[in-house]
Amino acid sequence: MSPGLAAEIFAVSIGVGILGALLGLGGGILVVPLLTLYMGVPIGQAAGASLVATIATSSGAAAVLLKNGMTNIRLGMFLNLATTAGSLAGALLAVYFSSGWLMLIFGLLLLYSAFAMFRKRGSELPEGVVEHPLAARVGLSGQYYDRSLGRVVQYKVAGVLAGFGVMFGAGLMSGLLGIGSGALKVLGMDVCMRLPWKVSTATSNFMIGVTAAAGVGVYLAQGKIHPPTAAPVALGVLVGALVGSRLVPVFKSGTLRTIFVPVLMVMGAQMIWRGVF
Amino acid sequence: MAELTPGRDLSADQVGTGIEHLLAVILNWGVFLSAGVILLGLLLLFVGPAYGGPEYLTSLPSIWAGLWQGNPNAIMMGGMLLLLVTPVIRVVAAVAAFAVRRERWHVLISISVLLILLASMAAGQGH
Repeated sequence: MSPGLAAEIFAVSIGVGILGALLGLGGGILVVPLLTLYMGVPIGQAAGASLVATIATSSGAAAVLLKNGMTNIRLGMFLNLATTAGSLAGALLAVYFSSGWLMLIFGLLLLYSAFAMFRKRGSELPEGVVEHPLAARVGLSGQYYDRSLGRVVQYKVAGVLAGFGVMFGAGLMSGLLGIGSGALKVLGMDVCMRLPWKVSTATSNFMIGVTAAAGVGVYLAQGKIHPPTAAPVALGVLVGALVGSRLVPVFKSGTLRTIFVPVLMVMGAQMIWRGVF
Repeated sequence: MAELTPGRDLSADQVGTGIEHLLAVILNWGVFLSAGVILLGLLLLFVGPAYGGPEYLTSLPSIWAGLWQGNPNAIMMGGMLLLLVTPVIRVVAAVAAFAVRRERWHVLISISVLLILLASMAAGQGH
């Protein structure tokens, strides 16, 4: 590891952190191909960077998103029940599944989501949402200040059970494939629970760190974290996440949705590639 | 969450008080502390004396021992571990904050998340 390469990894990681914080994704799925394909880092040294990048995005962006009231902590914790349980189940079941098929299915799902998201690209806030009885009973609905609209947005939570199911699936994928699955979390909250887009991405950002932390023991014990590679990734992603989280209030939800589409397509294509080859 | 009247114009500061603010402060401290330690390790690696120790550190005792020997890899790992446990601290802080407010449902939910999380981390160490 030369200082020049470390500086290059740091610079690229800033971009990953900005994108991850803007879209509610971990960025792990972006950082590994960037390191291995673009910068020639051996895969053995890059694998642990995915986990580090995910948690750095989550914790780096969380403070700003929390202060703006966009993160719904009660909902995030409730859904984290499903993601952590799914992740634990996935890790225990991993030996029985062929990861090739899973990656192929996951990749196709992401491509389909990109198409569905493209059709919804102009939408700013959900309308006509009927609160789920469970959301009312536990107290999951909320409000946030949207700077791009210049007002407080109050919202209700629908589809609690469907959302919980998607989160269990997202956790299962994390456990089986070792990926963060932030995209699935955002989609679950947007499509099933009909939350405002910024609440979906901010709450996903809050949740991905907790889901990823479940894997820390495995990564440490298996020696997957290569300090000279992971350290500049952690620092770069943290800087990027601090910047990206400050941009979320500024952008319109419709714009952020539009940015999400090509990222989903790249992630889907990459998953299919890894599944087939 | 702060009490809000619908339709009133409010600044972001007024929305994000209470639990959100407390969690944000705790996370900020964790993030800046870990970033400082990681940066120290990285600087030592490039400008400090050459160190012949192991590159990969796979257990807490080996990281702890390396810290006292001034091994840059151990210092970077120590900083990254601080970063990697911030999500756990986040859940613990949420349990405490909900308990103070007597939000029983949310205390129960957060404690369950914490238990599953700790079980997963422990299961991983046994691999």
